[in-house]
Amino acid sequence: MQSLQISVVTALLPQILMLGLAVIIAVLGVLRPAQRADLYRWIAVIALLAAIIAASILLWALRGSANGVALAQWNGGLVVDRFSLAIVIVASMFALVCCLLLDTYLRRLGTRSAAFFAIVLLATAAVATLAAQREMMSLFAAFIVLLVALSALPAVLKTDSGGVRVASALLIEGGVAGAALLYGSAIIYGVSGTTSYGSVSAAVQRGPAVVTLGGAFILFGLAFMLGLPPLRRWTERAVDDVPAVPVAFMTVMAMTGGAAALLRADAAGLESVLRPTLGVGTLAVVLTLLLSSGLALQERSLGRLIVIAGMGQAALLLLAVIGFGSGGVGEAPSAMLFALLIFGLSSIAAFSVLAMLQAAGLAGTLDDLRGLGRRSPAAAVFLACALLTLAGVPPFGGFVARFIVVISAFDSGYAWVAVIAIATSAITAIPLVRIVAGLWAEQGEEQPFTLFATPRLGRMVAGCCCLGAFYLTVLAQPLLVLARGGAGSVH
Amino acid sequence: MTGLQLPSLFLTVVVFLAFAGFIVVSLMPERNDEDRSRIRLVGLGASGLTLILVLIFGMYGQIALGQGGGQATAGEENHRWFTFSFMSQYHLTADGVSLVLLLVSGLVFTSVFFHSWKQHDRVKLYVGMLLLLETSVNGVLCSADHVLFLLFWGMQIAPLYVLIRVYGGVDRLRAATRYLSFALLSFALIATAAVLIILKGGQQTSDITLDYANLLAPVQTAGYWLSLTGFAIAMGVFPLHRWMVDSHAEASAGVAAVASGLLLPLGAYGILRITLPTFPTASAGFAVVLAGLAVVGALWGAVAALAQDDLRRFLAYVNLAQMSAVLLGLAVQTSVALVGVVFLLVAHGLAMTMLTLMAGTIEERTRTRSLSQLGGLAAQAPRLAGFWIFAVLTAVGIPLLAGFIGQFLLLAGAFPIHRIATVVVLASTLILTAGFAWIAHRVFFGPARETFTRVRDATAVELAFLVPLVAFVLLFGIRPGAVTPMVTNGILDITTRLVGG
Repeated sequence: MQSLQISVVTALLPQILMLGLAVIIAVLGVLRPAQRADLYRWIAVIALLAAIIAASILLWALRGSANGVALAQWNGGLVVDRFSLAIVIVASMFALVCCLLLDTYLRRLGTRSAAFFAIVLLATAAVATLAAQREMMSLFAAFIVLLVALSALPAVLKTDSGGVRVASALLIEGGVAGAALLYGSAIIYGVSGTTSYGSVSAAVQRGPAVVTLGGAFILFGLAFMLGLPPLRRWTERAVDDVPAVPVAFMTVMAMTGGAAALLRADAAGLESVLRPTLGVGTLAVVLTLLLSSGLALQERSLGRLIVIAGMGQAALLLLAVIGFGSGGVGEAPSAMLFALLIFGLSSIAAFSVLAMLQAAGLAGTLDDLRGLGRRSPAAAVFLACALLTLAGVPPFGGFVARFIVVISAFDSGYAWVAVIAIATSAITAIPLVRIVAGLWAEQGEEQPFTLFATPRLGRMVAGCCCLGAFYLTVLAQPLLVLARGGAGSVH
Repeated sequence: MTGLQLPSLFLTVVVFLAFAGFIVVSLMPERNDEDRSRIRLVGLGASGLTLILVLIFGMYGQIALGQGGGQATAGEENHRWFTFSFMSQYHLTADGVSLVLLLVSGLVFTSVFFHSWKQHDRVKLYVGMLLLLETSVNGVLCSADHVLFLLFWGMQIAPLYVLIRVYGGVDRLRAATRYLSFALLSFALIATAAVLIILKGGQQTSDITLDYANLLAPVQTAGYWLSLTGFAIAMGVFPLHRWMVDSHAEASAGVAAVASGLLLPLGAYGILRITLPTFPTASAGFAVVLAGLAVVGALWGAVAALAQDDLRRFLAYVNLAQMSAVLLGLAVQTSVALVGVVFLLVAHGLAMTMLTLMAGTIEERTRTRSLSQLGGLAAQAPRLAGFWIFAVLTAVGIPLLAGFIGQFLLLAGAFPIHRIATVVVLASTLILTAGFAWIAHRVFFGPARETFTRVRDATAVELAFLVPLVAFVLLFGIRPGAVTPMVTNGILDITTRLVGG
């Protein structure tokens, strides 16, 4: 067994492809503003597909590598390994699905389409970079790029005050989190004299209290990206003011970036800094789980409910990371990657159905959904699959993902948190199952709704996502193999 | 070995045939009565075919397990599902216990699909959800892996909630919500116990059939209580029975029949299959608590049943009393008592299905289920009265019927160990018998009411499911010896692990 010897360009090919095509889209958009919006969408799709293929080939080439590292550059500050490649594949796949679902909004985007898809590619590349960095300045830079890209999306998408409100909220909350990240990095740099994860651990002895403070700041910043409270008002505003699919992209990409950055920081040498803060992290997990289940019981809007369920999922992802950070079993990263994949897909699936409802003129309140099973059985089935996956109800993929995270938490010594996770999952499932029943049980003042009035491609992709949520249970083994392969290099 | 071999995917077909039916039904239109009839036929066909397969399987099992076949299971399928820090397998198996309960499942669902001809509103959803429930029940009965078991167990929650909420009575929303809360609580407890077993069992696998006796005492105690409470909620035993009474009384007759006849016994099956053999030391240590709960529950159920004016609520409390008797058998843990438990579950399943479906029929014909308003129906509906009395006799355990052998073995097995508890449970059965006689008298005998002069007797569709149920009650009652060796074979593994602990 030996390490793979490849060039920087080859190792970073997925990111280069995404950024290169993002630039081409942006230039085309400036030069030919009257070009069809669809063109930019398909260029973005090609870029994302190419990134997935490039990352898959690299991952395949790494199969014989002992440490799973393809490239370690700039004093170890940048590393391309199985983990970063797996995150590239997962993030690109999420972005790809979102691009395919965007049919409804293409016409509305008009001349802003080029900017929109260039930003989508930029955000995806930023997530990929968050997974590949091992240095605090790179972390901060990638964080800010992702934050700016995600903030720009609603502003580009909508010209009314709603889009601006969402962008402002995200920028303000993200700015606070970014500042915390920067303060934390600065504190640790002040003590250790380095920003590289690998060299920081030696400095912990020099000022443990100060380093703990720095670690807490970093954890706070990354928790925002992952989607944990308190800095997540922007998600609620986004659900209210921005169409569903872009919200899906924003929340899922933020979650992916946050999870990747946290696991990377934890694995690459920052664990000695973060370990003292694990108690705070655990408390954050518990409070988030309790909060999400409590809020879910009261919520009357489907979009907000999906976001609230996403908050619980983010807490579970953090639980897996904490399990790993506490020196737990080596399966925690695999659990996190596996759960990330399923949680992300289930969120996108749920938002995709919400997008279809929005396209048909339904506001997405629970009253709008009453009797949907009669008006549009297919839409109701899709929504039921998506919500039951979100809820973690068997036999859908969400159940296996939650079970595996709980197992890894138990195994890492967080049995009590795992018990709370099971209990809160059950509580969160109550409103979601009730909505599913309401799709067929009730007959409110129903507005006519035909699934076939929504764009065909979006319909097909949404259907595949929802039904795929069921098959993810059957496909648990190949997905776990992929996750384990990806997580292998962070051990 | 017997020399007989079943196809390797036989159990998968038994479990997923109903699911295939669900897919077909989902794709069918529901525009008019003709479409609805087709949908019902698909449901009945899927369930009936499953029953036929289970009967073939039962005959094979009877040879392989009961008549010196020397096998532990009548069929087994084992494929790797996923590997994490443990290995989870798609492991299906059917021993004597699961085999007889599979037979009950087939009979109950086939009967309920016959009964679905009375359902005219949203037939597609009704049939589809019932088929999902059947998949879940059969899956639970065949699962030999904790994760797979959880998967099938959790699969019943959403369909049953939908069925109660959509097709229930006036107070269905409250009943459905209560069911959902308790079902999710039960699922969470069972899942937590499963996590403990998998991680602390030291087997690196989630296989149910393995021996987990080396669990440390605190883990055994915690796992036992988690698992027991989870399954006890599903059984609807005292003091966790309120959801059961409400949901069984409010659900439509077909759904209540499935819930009483199958889903409550499924809770007992969970204790028998998982709680007792996995936590043998804790099971022995806390058996007296179970016996105590059984005593209180049996008395409570019998007395509360007498106080009801609603026929369906009366039957719900009968469930409580009978499941408490089952709990006593589970507390005793001897092979005689456990065989009695299995027979009692079979008898309960068949009798309660008949009673609940007939209660639905009575309600449909008389537009009431208030006992104070019913009376004298035997004159107009003698066949219905006959079947009702037959079902009552089965439920109370009259000789030559399925209930007798179950009651006899259970009480005979329990008496040497928990004498007072056995006497009290027997007394509760006597109270229940008196209650049944009183109810039968009020509903069917006495002066005929003018309002019920046009009440129809049992129709051909009703006879189509009542007659086979009667036949199987007689078969189990007259020839228990044909089934006992098979059930004993299944119980043997459980008692071996109990003794080993």
